[in-house]
Amino acid sequence: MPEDKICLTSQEFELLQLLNKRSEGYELREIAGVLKKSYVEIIRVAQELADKGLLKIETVTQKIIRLLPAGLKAANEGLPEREAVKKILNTGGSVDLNRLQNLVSAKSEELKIILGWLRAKNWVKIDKKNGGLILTVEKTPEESSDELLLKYIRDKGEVFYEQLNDEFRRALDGLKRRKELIEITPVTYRYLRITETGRSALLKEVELKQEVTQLTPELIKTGGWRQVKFKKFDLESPVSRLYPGKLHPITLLIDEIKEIFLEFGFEEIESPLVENTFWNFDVLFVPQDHPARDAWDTFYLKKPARGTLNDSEIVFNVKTVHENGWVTGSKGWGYSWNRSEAEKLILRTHTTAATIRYAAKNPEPPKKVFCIDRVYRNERTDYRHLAEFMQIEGIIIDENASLRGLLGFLKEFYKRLGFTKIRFRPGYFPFTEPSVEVDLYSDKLNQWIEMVGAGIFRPEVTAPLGVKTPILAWGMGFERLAMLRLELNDVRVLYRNDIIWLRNIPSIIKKGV
Amino acid sequence: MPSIELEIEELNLLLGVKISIEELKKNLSQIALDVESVENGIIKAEYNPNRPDYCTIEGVVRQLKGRLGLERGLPDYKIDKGSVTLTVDESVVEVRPFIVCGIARNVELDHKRIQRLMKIQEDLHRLVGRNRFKAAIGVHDLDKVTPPFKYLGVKPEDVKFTPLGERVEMNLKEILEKHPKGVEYAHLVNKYDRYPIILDSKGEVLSFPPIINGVLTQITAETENIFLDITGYSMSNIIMALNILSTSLYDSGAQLETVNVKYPDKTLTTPTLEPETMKFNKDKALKILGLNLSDKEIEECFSRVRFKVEKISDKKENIFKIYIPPYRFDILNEIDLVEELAVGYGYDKIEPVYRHAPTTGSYSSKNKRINQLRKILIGLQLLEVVSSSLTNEEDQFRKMLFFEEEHVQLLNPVSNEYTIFRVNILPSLLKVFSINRHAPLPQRIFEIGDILKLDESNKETKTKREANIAFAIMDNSASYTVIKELTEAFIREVGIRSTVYSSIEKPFILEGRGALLTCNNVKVGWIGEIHPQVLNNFEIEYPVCAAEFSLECLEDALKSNLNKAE
Repeated sequence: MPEDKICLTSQEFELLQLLNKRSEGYELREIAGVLKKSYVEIIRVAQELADKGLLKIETVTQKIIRLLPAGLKAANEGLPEREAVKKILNTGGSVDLNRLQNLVSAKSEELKIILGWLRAKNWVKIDKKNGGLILTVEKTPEESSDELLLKYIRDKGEVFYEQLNDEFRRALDGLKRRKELIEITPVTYRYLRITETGRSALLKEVELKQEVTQLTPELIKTGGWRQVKFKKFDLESPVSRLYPGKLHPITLLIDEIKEIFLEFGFEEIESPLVENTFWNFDVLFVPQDHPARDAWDTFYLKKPARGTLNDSEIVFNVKTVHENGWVTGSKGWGYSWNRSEAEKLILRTHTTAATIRYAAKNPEPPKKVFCIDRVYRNERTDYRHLAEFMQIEGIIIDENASLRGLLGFLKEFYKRLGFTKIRFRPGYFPFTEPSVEVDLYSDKLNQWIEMVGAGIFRPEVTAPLGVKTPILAWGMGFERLAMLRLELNDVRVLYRNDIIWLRNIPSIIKKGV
Repeated sequence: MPSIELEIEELNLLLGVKISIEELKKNLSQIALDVESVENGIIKAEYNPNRPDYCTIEGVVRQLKGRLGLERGLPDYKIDKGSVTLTVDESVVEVRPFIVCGIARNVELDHKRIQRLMKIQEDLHRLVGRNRFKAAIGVHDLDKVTPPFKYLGVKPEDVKFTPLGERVEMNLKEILEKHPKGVEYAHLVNKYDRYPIILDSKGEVLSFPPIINGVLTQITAETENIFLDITGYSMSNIIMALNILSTSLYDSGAQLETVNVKYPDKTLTTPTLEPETMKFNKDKALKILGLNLSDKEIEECFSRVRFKVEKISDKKENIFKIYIPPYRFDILNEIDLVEELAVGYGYDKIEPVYRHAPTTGSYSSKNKRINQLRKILIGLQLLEVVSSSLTNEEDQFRKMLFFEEEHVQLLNPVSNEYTIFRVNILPSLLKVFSINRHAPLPQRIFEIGDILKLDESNKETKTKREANIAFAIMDNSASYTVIKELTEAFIREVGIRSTVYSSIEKPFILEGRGALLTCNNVKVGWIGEIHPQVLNNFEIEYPVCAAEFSLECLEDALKSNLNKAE
């Protein structure tokens, strides 16, 4: 080829011409926008030109910092230690640790963290008194650099790590240590710049190369494909990412567990989420003054607050069994049972309300039923607790059911879930006797975990429903199993619906627990 | 769950043998004590609320000795007959009717044991006393006062004494107003004219139950003889507390002595520590356990959990008489003895056996349908999300610019985040978009989830659980056209043939960009472009189009499809 000529494809020519307009170059995304081509296409062309020495690709990775919802809240309302200082000042400037815990309504672990920051920022004076700690604040402390940083990020929307000064970088380290405040995402930028060779090449006469990138219907129909040269693709060059429709990992795991139940011959049941306390507690022989019923962890309903018990023999039987044991030979609880207490409506606290309702309607053996469904507890949420979660629950109504058979079933069932080691110890549930605590060995955690409760329903539970055979029952939380399978440390991730997390997690969930 | 701290060294001393920590842990777990941690020679173990006797180390040791075979059978408690009396005056019956007492002589106390005794009191107040309502305990130095004692009701201003933790005398009214314990427990007495009080023969105050004891009888390292008073609303609970306390004191070396408690109509001599008995049918029990045990083995198992067995001669059935230790109150029924037998045998020694009860498996028809719909939706390139069904009025209504009166409301939520149950799923999807602003577009998501409707026709729970199907797209080009294309494809895949789109006015849909969807003459839901004000409210920066249908209505539409086909 004569020296005053250069051979380029039309895309290469187009790109070089653009780059020639600005000596400092362009970022890849900008080029894609200007040339109305896909990112991937541009990279392919640019790589080709770079190989020829006509342009240079410079890759820079920068870290973008953004606020997560909790971080935004902290930017607006202040970090927990700021709240603590405010509350201390509002109550006179000096409180003991217990009072502080009440003031900021924190769990002890959270309190520890707050205390740590108060100390680190030197916002309080701490004195020991009577074996307790007294915290004193003299005046509202100035905004610390982590607070300033939070507000800075909030105002900018997002900031680059590289632009932060040393003080902010140090503050960032502190914020990173706290859960769920900020996220840092690395972003790669590719800057394209024309080289001297490229510039002088453009001064020459350009001969446009006839290389076919895309096979067209035209070429196929006319047979034109026989005459042209097909451009060879760089097989490794990146392509754009597709986002398929897919199921949530919770659904995938539940389907997997349901399949195991079906293999064992279990029937899936449907049940209400709103229950009266009668079916959630009374039928299960939990006395009406049992601490678990305290407003503490049961969601009672304001609207509708109360239903009416269906007038059946069951109500009478349950009342009598609570009061004096009825015909079961039991002593009962020895108090006067209150019907109106039993009519109060709640969000069910366990799926045992579902299985026991089924047993009342279907007392004849043999039956094996299960459900994997939602339950509710009136608790603050944190990385280990949710107010709304799922239970896996099953019962077996069988004439020959025995404790030994229950252990045998559980061993077999959990083997299919991936737990090869299982052990049993005595437990206590108001509605089962004997009761069993089941420990499963987690290979991933390298330890035994307490995950399953099981037992045989007490006669005080089954007799009032007209069930004459023993009922084996067991239940477990779904989320701990899911966390093990998905390798999560924070249970809230399961229901947060972070789209990037959902897109990244494979639809074939790894075995192993 | 309640817990107890056990010093390993002391445990070994009380057991009389040295046992490795691993063995201890294993054996504790088999008597229903769940070891939480082992640190600095101290085992912290949780126990179940049905075993308040585990709040004392003596209670744990007693059970552990049985498990390890160091001691067997019913523990033997000797009680001396005492002469101290306490008279119950009628004036106290209304405010706090029951009291039992006991004396422990020659106790050995030091700082640690006094601390421990206080912890036991606290635990029993919680586990047995229901926060001092059903039972409250007073522990006194007997030698500081002069029997006989009197339990009576007095006017709040009539009696003065120095309560624990104070230096000056206060009357009962002042104690309720000023003393921390008074403030905490005032509600147990302040609705009555007279407050309960225990006096000695000279009129000195031992206690103002269930609030506070007097400084006078405070126990110290020098105390030799202890007087126990347990008052409350439940006779069975005060006896429970007395038995647990006195067996623990006995096991730690004290001598027990009875007190005569004279009620207007009867005299109780307490504590008695007599074992109760219950009948036990061997064949029934073994069938439930699935074990095969000889009479001798049964006796052995029961003796390991510190029960005593006597065979009752009966030709037809194998009946035993079982003696229950006086510190156990969880044996309500024969079935509880069956569990004791299993614990005595050892849960760890039961060989699991798998038996198959022949049944056939099936999915619930609702969940089967939901799974079919999920498959259609992922085929339409939608990503499934699963969100919480509890929400709050702000997210569910205010941000959506509409209010639906008929929704389930929670009475006592601990957080503002969850105050109601959702009636629509779309707000959940918008929330997903709002936290995923940084994720690449387009975002195409769906959820099939629970909603609750109020339903008067359901007498029992006044509600109906239903499922809704919702899907939404956030993208630069999201529009009515996009959601209509998607909906048509969905409806086609479901197999519904007749669909009508008619105009709809909903505050959260952009005017003229939303439609009511009617399938086979059943209104199944709506589709449309979300109003920019709603997007602002959720801090969403891109257009969103969405659809929400009722699963129940979709089923109805499908049914009329079938009817037409016939």
